[in-house]
Amino acid sequence: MLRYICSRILTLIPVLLGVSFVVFSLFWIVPGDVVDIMIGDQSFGDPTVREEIRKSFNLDKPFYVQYGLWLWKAIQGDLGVSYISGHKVTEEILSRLPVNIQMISVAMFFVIIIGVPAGILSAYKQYSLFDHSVRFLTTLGYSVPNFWAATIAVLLGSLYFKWLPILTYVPFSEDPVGNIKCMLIPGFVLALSTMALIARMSRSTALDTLRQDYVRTARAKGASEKVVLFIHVLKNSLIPVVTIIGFQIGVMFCGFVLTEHVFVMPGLGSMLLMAINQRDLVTVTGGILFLAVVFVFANLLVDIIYSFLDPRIRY
Amino acid sequence: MAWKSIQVFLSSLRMSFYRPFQWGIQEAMKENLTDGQGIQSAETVEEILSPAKLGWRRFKRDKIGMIGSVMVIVLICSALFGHYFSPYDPLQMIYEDSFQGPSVKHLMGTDRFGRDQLSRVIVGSESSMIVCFGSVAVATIIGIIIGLISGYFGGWIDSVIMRLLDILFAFPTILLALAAVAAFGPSLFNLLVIIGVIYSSRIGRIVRGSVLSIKEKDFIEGVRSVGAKDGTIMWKFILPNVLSPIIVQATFNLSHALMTEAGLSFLGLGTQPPRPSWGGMLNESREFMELAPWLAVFPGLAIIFAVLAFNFLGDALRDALDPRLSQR
Repeated sequence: MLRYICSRILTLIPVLLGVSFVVFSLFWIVPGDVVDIMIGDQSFGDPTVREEIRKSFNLDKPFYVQYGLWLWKAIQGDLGVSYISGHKVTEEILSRLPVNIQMISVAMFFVIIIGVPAGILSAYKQYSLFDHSVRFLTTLGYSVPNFWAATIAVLLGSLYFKWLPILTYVPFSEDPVGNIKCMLIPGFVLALSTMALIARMSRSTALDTLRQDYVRTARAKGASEKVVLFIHVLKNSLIPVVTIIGFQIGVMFCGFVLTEHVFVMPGLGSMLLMAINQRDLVTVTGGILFLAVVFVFANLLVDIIYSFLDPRIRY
Repeated sequence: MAWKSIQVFLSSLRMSFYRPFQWGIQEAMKENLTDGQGIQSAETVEEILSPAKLGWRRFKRDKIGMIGSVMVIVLICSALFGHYFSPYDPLQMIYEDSFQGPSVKHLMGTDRFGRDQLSRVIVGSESSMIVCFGSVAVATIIGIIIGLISGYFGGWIDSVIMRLLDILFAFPTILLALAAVAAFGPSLFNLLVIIGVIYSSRIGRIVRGSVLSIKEKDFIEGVRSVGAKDGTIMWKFILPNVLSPIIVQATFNLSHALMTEAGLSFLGLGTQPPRPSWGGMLNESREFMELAPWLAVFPGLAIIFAVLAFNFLGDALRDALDPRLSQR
């Protein structure tokens, strides 16, 4: 097991190197460099000042040296200083991260509370009205783009759910209850497509489990339907569901870019969008590198958890 | 040279409907029939041997799949001919008519410039469909080439290509698309190429997997023994046999590409105004949400319609072409 984990981590190194290279070179392609964006056109500004700024950003060095220096700093946790806001990018990311983590936890809460039971019940009552409506809703939920769902949620929320604050953000430290309240609707919207996916997934695995011999044995020995459903079926059909949930956390980390934009949450997504609009290259590269690394590690974690949960899988 | 390879590609597409090793048998049997020596009738020969017909028959029975294909045809028609049958010019601004609610005159209302929303939704399908089909075409072509080479040759070529795909895979789609659009600038063509390249990694993996299982089959060995070149084996004998998972995945990619395009346009990084696009219309509607909620509703419904269409079609195609993959 330890060997598997180690080898898995080792294979990550080239991937992470590649990811950082892609991110860095994407912004090498952008026409004009940092100095042009900072002080405008070529004809503008004192040439010596320009040179000094170029030096301070290491722009006078060749591409691979710049990449090496940037990567070396990034490994140490320093993603540079934004030349627009003057903030350190790492600090900016860390200060915004709690919003995303909170939103994802709320979304996951909805997914587990609604998605999993809906899927398992619909498998248990296959071909019933409940089953059909769950299947219809999952198809729909999977096809609704989350930014549209968010837009509609803002519309409906402002009309019908007046007690729920919308388009406002209260930090947890100021008002814990208000904070959770303002997370509810964004979290639910973020959860929609994952909920649909999980419901579908747990339905199909539960259908498989229900046909297993040990379920028949459990019934034969006189276990009540509740025990069969919650102990035998639920437990055994959760393995694939857990991995999907893990994978979806990585996906959600990036899906919130759109959701957050609609709900005006001060998270990583809004930081990234603002940076793209202001052409703040340092923040954009830093943010994208951070998210990609999170995504890679989330997938690694899923693989490891999966091999723990299902001992039949040996690599 | 290029034309030749296109011809080969097209012919291999056509061949997919007659798996090659069976095709030979079928031809042989037909010849027998003309000699008057065959016992079976021509129909039964066809019925037994053509997987495409089998797939088509399964597909026809699938109601959802039929609904899906009709929806897709509607989408394609509105993208191709939308300019001709939209009730108004989607770009024509009539300020006296701004913010009209849905009525008989304007079925989906008008926006702040008094442009007819229905016409904009119809014509907006154009940019979505261009990006969808264009990016999926790019993804499929790159994916097929990568997957075939990687799966067929194996060895260090395979490892290098797979590591590169791993890197593409390490990015969440929307994030990479966002970054690339920010770097290359937002335009329809850039969007198409970027989304295509991102999705080519999925197709590439699927093709590689199928190639690995097929290249060990006896008929490939047989073809090689009569002296076929690597290129011929790949294009004419392996590709037709891996086409069904590609078609299924491509159909699902259509809906993913549509969502990505709409999402980027929603952020103002996709299709640029004044060209109407569903995502862009949603973005514009956010300012006037309480004043004109219909502006937010209809483009969203259009996106859902399109995504559902592709998903229905994909599900049905998967059930028909690749029964092993289908869920209950």
